[in-house]
Amino acid sequence: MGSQIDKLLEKYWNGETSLEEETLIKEHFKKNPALGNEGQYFRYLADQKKVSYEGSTSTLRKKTWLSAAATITIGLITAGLVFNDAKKDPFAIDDPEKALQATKEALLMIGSELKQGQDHTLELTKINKAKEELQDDS
Amino acid sequence: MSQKLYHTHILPASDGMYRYALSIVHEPETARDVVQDCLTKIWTIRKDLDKVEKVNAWTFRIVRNRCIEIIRRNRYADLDEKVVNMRYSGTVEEKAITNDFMSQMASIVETLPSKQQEVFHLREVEDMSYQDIAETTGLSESDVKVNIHRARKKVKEAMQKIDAYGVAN
Repeated sequence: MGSQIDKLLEKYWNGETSLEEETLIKEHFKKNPALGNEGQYFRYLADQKKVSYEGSTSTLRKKTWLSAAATITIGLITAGLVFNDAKKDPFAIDDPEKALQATKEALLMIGSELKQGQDHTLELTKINKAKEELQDDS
Repeated sequence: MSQKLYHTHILPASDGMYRYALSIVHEPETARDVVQDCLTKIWTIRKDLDKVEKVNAWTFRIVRNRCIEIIRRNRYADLDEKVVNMRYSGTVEEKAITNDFMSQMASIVETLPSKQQEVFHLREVEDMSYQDIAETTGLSESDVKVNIHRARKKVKEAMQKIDAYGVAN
């Protein structure tokens, strides 16, 4: 068998083998994986034949799925972060004493603003009254 | 009948069509596009499939023509031997540094002139007859034989160099 393969290999490298003979050589190295360069050469050819169109499209599909999954994950994380931030009041005060103080200050400020507004209304009422009296006199 | 031919002869050849396209364009995505285009084109003319004598060689010729069209359109380079050799000279040097036999083999095949690379692929990987290769490539049968012999000779020489020095070049 060894010498037959050697003869076939010699024919092969000289480009004189038929397709059937080449199949015999390939089958031989498939059954007897040799460590030598020739064995590896025929293994390389067999590996080339494993490349498939379906395989390449399934890799593409896998890549598409992976990128879709990554996009969804990023979207969910972003939405979670935004939602958490929205729930938090940026002006919230955790310390109750500070909160009470801030509320008092706010109420005082509103009170003083209201008083100022009331003063202005009184002044306007006086002016209106004076205006009406002048109109009556004339 | 013709539709049946499409399912029995064309679709099962899609792996070989993809490998052949890949061996010419060297880009998986482009090779996928080529196969997709060719399958679509063949589907549209499926009614005439029973008039085709050698469906396999005919299909591969369609793949080849589409590859050449894309190469020309994208202005990668012409299928001129010189250009192809220049295109891969850098890659070979890079890859030859590695001791991996398989990648060295890929580099050796890539350094072959385009015609030799093409017939080498069709014979060694697709197990096509000289006649079918001639029909696919437009070469004469004797040219196919000469190119395969030269390709094998170069591969063998490169393998001997790997044996002696650990690298192909």
